[in-house]
Amino acid sequence: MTPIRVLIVDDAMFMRSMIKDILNNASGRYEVVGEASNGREAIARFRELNPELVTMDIVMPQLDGIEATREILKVDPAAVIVMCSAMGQEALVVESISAGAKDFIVKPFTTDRVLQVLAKVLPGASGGSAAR
Amino acid sequence: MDTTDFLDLFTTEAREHIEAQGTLLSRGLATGLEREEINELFRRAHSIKGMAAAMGFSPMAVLAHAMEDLLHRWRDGRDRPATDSLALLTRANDHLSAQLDAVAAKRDLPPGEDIAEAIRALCPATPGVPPAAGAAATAPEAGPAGAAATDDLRPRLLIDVAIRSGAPLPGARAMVILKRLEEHGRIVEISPAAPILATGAFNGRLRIVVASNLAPDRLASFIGGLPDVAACEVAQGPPEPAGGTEARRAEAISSVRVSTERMDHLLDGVGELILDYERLKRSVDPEPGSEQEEILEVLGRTVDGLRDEVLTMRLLPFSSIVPRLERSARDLAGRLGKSVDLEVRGTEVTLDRSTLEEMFDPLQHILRNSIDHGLEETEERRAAGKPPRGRIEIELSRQEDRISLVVSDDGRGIDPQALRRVAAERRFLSREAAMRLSDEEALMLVTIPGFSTATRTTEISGRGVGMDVVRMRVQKLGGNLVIRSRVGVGTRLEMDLPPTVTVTRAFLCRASGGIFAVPVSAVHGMLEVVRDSVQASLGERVLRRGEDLVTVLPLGGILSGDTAAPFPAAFPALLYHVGTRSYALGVDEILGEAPIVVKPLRHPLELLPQYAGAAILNDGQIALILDPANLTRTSRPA
Repeated sequence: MTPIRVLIVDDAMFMRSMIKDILNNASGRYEVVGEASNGREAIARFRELNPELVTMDIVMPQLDGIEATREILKVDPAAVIVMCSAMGQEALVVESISAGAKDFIVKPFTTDRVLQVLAKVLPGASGGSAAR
Repeated sequence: MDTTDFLDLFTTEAREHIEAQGTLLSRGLATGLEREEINELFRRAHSIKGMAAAMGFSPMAVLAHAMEDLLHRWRDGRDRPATDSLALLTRANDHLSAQLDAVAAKRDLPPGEDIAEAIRALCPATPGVPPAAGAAATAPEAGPAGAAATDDLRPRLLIDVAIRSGAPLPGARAMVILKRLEEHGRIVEISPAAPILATGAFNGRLRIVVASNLAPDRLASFIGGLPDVAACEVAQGPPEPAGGTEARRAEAISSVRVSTERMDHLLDGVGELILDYERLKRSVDPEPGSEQEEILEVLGRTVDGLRDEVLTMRLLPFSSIVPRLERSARDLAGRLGKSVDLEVRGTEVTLDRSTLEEMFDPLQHILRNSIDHGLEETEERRAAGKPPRGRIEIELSRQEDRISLVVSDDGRGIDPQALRRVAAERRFLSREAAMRLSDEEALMLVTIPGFSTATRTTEISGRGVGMDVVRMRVQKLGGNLVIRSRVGVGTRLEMDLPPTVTVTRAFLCRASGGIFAVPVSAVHGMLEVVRDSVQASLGERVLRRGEDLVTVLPLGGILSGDTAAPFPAAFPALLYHVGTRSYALGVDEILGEAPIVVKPLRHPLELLPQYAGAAILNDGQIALILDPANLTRTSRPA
């Protein structure tokens, strides 16, 4: 099975490494194809790499994750974006979901949690689409 | 059934309903009622009736039932709300509140049969009108969701979703479910309403009506497979009428309850976490750019987010106590036969819930003083050329990081000269000291315990009943009280309060070999005092700063009891105000600003008024937290 190509967006290198580590150890299901440390960079990397999945931090310098999500969805309305939020950001997460993000994970993450949420957002995943 | 377990829940919920009804009814008297407001009144009366009946409080149930009957007529359009019937319902609602007070105090409930009877007299039996006719007439106004949904001929499915308890951000989770459902149908109705999801007040139970061609079991397994969904049931429509889901929505919002005690535990925990984090950061002292630095940065942000979340959770709008204030003002004015208009502004400003609770009694005292003593009788007002109705204004506003609370009336005011005289006559002060008081200082005399009782026998209005309590309560909350008044024009009480409590920032300073914390909210600035610029004046050492005279208090001297000890050549000091006076608290060294967790003092230290509590510092040391206002008092034996 071809691995799912992922772009990781987070301003903290630590968080990026952590997500990357989780994805790299998921039996070859995911391939991290790129990273970005702010919203502006995320849009550029998305255009360039056209990943199947984006993990997006919300609070970032230059351009926040919600704006970046809106911009990316303008580029590709079918983009699958999962927000990464800290505790206490419920309103921001709700706004992101309204903007078109597919789901969210809350920091601090656990491996199981990340993989569970990502598995559910991709088209064709079990439970991901009952209609098709 | 043993109902005692439910008593707290009953009183809290019933109080909420009664207060909301009070607000709606006063709005109704002022501007009339919208259809949705009548519906809400009806639903709330209905809830009170049911709850009171279940608890066995039949006088409340009977009264709420009568209210419900009249509201039902309004709802069906059989009658329209008129001023006198609104006034009657207001009376009934106030009576419900009195009954609830009796419940809380475990007293016998005052009967309300006369009021119930008066309401019932407005509801003659009308067997000719079937209720369905009224209901049918209102159907087209069901709202945009209902109207839009009629175009969609797909079958209605009723979905109940329970989000796993303990799941992070349940509101956002609900939002994800709604968005995912849109892939399979059109959402017709959501309960609770979508805006609730972003507020943190969502309790994890979501009911959705969706128009979809998907089979119920397939939809159920789709939703059931989403993260954090604990249970999902899907049933064929038609959904129950809108009234039912509305009632459920009200229930869903109001059932998110945590006892204040548990909130306090949570805040304590967060406070400890913040301190541990600060300690960790200092003991690790990571290399710039290292992984440790990254971890600490992320941890710091999580801790900050958690603290903000907890503090926000404790915030309540001022409006949550306004109905109780309005009611008590109305009661008292009615009893005294005075006409009073109470205007409350800034009801949307939020305060820590304990601050709100603590301020309720003082505000009630203040209102009582204004109505009973401050505001003149109608005739006296006319003679003075004032409008016949007395006026009281409460204004709450946020000023940077403080909350300002001002209560003013247009009554007869307080005469500072008379207060000076009483203070001297009753030997609260020597005649000279009393006459030396500025007007503002003289007005503060009313906050001295026992002073009001002394004034009551004089010609001065007996204002001051409980004013000592007001001042103490405000200071306990870390606030400050100033009284301003002009004879014949009115009185104005200005209070400022910190918006949140318990975790606070403080200046740490060193004096007499110990470390002390002074809350940042109490400090107005820092200054360097040069000994040669200090002058002696009336037994105090003062410093001129622009227009102001600042009294210099050496902390070390106060602590050792030697307030006259010579000053070093220069020393740092914290500037603060008490009432209208300024003080500089001289210390050996100001160590900086840090977050502290306030711990209450244990006996017998709690008896020392100069300490507001203890703080545990980053390195585990304990610092006593100084209460500057009380420190000032202990240093100047009057």
